[in-house]
Amino acid sequence: MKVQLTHNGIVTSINKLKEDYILLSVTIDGRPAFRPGQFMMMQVSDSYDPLLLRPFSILDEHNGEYRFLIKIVGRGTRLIADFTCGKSVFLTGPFGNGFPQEAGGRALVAAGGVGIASVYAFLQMLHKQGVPYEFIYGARTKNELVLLNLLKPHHPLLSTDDGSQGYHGRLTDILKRKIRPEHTVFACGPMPMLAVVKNITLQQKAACYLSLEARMACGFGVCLGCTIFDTSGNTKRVCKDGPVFEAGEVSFGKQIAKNR
Amino acid sequence: MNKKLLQVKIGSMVLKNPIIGASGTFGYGAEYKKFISLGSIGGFVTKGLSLEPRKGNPEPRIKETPSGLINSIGLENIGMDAFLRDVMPGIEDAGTAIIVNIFGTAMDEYVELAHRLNRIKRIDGIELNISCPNVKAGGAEFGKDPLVVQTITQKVRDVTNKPLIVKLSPMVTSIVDVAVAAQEGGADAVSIANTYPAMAMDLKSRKPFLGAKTGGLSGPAIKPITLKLVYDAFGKINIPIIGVGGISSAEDVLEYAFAGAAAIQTGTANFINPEITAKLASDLHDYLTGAGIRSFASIVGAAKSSIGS
Repeated sequence: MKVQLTHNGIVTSINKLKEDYILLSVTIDGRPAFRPGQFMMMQVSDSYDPLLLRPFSILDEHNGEYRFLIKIVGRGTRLIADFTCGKSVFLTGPFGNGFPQEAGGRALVAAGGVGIASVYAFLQMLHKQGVPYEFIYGARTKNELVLLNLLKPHHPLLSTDDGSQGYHGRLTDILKRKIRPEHTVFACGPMPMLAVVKNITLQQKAACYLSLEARMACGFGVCLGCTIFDTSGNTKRVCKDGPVFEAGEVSFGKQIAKNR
Repeated sequence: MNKKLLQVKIGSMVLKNPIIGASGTFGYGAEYKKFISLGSIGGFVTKGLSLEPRKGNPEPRIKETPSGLINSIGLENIGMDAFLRDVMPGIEDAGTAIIVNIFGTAMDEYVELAHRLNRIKRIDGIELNISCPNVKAGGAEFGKDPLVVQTITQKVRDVTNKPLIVKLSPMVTSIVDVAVAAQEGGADAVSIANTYPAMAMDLKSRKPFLGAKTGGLSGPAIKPITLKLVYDAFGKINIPIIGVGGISSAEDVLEYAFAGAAAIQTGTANFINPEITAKLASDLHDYLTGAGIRSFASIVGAAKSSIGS
């Protein structure tokens, strides 16, 4: 069945946050429904260069206005930083499986760096469902802890690698202290962090879901550019089979796990 | 609507219009059902299928370059059995031509694959991939030597009466020689062309960026190069040419048509706008009617026509 998965959007606001973060609001025609943890592909250039759309988690939506938290990491995201209000952008999606719709008991949500973009909508959902949850949010420095006003209702336990705000150390240290076997952990962040999260949850025999990030061309499962090899050696598409995976499925290079 | 306006004939296969989704960018067809009405396009070519499933190359597999994309997927596919068993039932009602792209590491595998497909009524055509730059054995190696191209085409021709398309490598000394070889082997059409071997470096590691080191370049960046190959081959063979390389707009389709493409495939553009095939079919219709052109077929090869159009 054909559904509307290509959209025209109009930029309604763009706010530069701390460090290299942007909060972008776009009204999107058709007002597509989305699940927490899903993403959309966004056009960054009106020309063929850069060619591909870029994937961004949907933060939230109000009256057809969608917000995206974007970290400037390269050419595409730098172009987005120069977007002005009224600019029209082409988008596709929402794509991906998103987080489970039921947290199952007690939830522990962990976001590292820009990983906050993927878990924010999920936090909102848990809040709305009245499910008990705790939330840990870590970054390298306080300048990379963003959206703190929006996050207040979720009572974040903050951590920074340099101790400039919150707990001085890794968010995974907090996770280690908090975790109980009855918890279900939901995490998004850099791969080394997710590797540690997986190990901690394995030791505690707690359920765990990880939202992964990957380079992708299409976002809907056909280019096979974002394929990862899972713990059974089978191929999984981050865009379509994920981006949220059960931690047991996700294979981390030995080196990455050792680094932390 | 004048049915004949956009109609294209490839061997015994009649396409509603000349817009085809290219292999490796159109999944197995079913993936596009949610984006477009498959009945609105001329056809699609499945991801290249081998006898056994293949997991493909290590990550990273894609690298964006100026107006282009390098991929080294490595022909990851579900294998012919799973395709026939799990995918076919879901695309039988597609209302468009289903062309199955096949790939092997030895000639016998192509023959076996074609033989199996020959029995499946709903499959409208077969495209031979003898030009993938991303595999060590077979692939582009088969596509370089005209004699090998002719032999492999002939062997497959012997086991199937389905329309047979041979997808050529652009990395050949003479595209004409290879296209003629495919024709002599019994091909009903040639697809010109596959991606161009390419690479990118990682500035930190000082090593190739892609997990497989090299890949194939596609996208608007390659359009002028492949366009010339189509132009070079047109008039030198009697079978239709399917142009494929960097097509993203109706203007691109027209350029390929003038150069000699009787039909075209869109590849990388499907990733950016999954509705592009349907859009091109509609835009092309509007252009032709607006310009008072009686048929798409009449403008094919216009660049070499002494009459002009």
